[in-house]
Amino acid sequence: MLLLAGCSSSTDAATPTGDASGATDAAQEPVTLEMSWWGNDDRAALFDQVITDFEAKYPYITVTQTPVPDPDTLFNRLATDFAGGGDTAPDVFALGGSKPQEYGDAGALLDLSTVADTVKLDKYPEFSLTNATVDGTVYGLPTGGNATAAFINTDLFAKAGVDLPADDWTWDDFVEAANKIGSAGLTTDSGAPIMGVDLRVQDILGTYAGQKSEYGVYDWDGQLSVDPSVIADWLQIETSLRDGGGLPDPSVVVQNWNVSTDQQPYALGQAAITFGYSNLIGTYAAGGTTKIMLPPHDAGDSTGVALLPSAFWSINAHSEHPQEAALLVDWFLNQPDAAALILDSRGVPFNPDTLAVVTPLLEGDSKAAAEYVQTTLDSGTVAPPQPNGGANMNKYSQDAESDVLFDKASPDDAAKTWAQKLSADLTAAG
Amino acid sequence: MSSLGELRVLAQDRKNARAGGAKGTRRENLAGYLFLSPWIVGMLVFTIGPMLASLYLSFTKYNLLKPPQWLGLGNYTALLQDPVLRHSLRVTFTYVFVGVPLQLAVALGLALLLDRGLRGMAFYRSVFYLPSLLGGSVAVAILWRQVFGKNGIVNGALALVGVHDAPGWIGHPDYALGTLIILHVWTFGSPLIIFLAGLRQIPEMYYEAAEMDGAGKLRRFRAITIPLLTPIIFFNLVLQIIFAFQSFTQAYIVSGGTGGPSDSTMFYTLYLYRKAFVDLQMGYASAMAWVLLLIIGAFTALMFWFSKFWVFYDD
Repeated sequence: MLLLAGCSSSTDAATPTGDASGATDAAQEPVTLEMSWWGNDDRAALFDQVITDFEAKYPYITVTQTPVPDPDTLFNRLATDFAGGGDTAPDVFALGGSKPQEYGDAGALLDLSTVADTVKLDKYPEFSLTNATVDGTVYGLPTGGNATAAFINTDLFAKAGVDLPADDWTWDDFVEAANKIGSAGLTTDSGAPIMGVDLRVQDILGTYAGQKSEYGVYDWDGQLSVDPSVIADWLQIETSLRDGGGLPDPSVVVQNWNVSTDQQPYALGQAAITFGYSNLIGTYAAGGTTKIMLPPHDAGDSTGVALLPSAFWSINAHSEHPQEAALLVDWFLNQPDAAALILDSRGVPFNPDTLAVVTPLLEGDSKAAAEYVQTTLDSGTVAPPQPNGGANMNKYSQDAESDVLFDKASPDDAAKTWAQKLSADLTAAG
Repeated sequence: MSSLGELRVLAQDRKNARAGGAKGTRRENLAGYLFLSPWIVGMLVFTIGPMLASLYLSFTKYNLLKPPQWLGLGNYTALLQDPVLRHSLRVTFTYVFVGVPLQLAVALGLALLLDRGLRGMAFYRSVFYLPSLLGGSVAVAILWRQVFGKNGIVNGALALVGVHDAPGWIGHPDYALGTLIILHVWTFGSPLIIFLAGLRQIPEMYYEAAEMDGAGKLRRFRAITIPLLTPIIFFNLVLQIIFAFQSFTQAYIVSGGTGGPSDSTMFYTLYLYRKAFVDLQMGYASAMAWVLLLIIGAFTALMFWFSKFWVFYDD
């Protein structure tokens, strides 16, 4: 189908074309929308279904999908598109991390209040929009929320003869349990050694910082808020795990930094504990009977768990069809037909109406994850968004971790370096 | 017709054309440029244009989304004070100046073995050339992660000889760069082919004369093969050093794009990529690209200057 360049963007100003596709209500000029997102084949199949329904409801709209395998691929494309003016960017696309802030600030995204008649914003809790709000203007809607959680392989705990942790377990409890299981000499059926904890520093350091400092890693002004001593304490925990056998050889820890979730030791049944986002429960449960629970937290501290939007849908400010694009976003987020298909695969929905559709349809592990998210909604904290200049935080955390685990630096020095590098980045970007 | 004969015909044609007046020459030139135009357009649009744009951007602050802001030499002075940049240069120099000589030594050694006129020579040549085609690819870099991983075949082999607690080589800051250097050495195929061609160029009579004078194998290698091969060694050296400075894929894939662990695989090009596409500092990254060009240019010039002292041209 042809994309009619320069045709009117308003749905009600359309002129009849005599085209058969306008058979439903008033005949509409055909509109083609491009939608881009990241994800695997399962997500592609799911979105195909959602879009087929959407096109059946609005026959004059054709949606072309341009899926990519991972967020960075999409962000690189968008950066190039918007550097060239934005006309070539998709009409609707997914964003994450600090991208809604960056792009919103640069005028690349549609102010969603201009299409508020089509896509309702008022049902969304304010905190769920924080990451996509710049100076009071909302530039994206969250697909759903995930919360950092601890995952416990109860089979392995039983095998090692270690009691399951209580809900209010502390970091000392955690180190003790991980060290016991990791040094018990257990193996899987195929002979792979079983580790106490399958740790990716980037998945838990933010939560730890949230427990030990007022705002977490960043404050609301986008500056570094956590004290380096907190980071040093965390690195100290890692050395206890290394020395006590809770962690595998440091080179294995490094190797697992960037492994896809289904290949992580926990998901393969080779680790008793791991940390990650609640929506990974299905993937992790492949490793054994899995219990989802709050991460360890010391008495008197908050849980540090923040409910984070997994992604946002945003509309290109240069889209020729903002109304239709808004219809599409509304379909994905607020319409029951789509919600019944998408369920919680993009996080637990923030819109209570959508959640009401999804909740009764969830079962098993998904249900446990949704309930977990619900409890964090009540007890959790609202973390300031990742600011401009925060893109290297995970890398700096990994650097600090390997420096400490390989004895290249003391926890204190590594933490100081971490803070120096990160605040230099934040200053440069701010 | 021999190529000389062809040249003669061309020269004759030109003479005729000249006799026919300037008009014919101009038409011929036009046709020449027309045939060249795909290349010229490609060069201007896809090479010169972007290069000029990046030169301009290297003097600006530019995050792709907002228009570039003029900084003057700001990026270049910042480069001088960037500790990560200095570190990435150290990593890259280690990679180039350990990896390339090793790679060429392996290539030369195998070329000497293959030069004996084995049966099935074409087969061996192809087999040895394969890694050169594959070595820079994503697939092989992913394979490398497995080979040198904790449970990879390298550690499998070590376990057979009794070494059981070997680390994951790509996950250890002291060894990760070493695995990348081995990957580079493994891509010895293209210098190997060039060495083989060079060995074929050495006239057999030199060896025969030397043998008659009583020169042994080693002596013949040192006194005949090496001196006559120096132009080829030089050619391979220049080419491979230029390639090695620009290596990117291996480090990007093996470290998952981070240059880790502890920046041990942070190649200059990888840092450049991170500055551009992670930090969105396109101006800074452009400045880095131009500095890399200068570094490679300086090394190439230096090698040409030194070549006077050791490269022997037999003419």
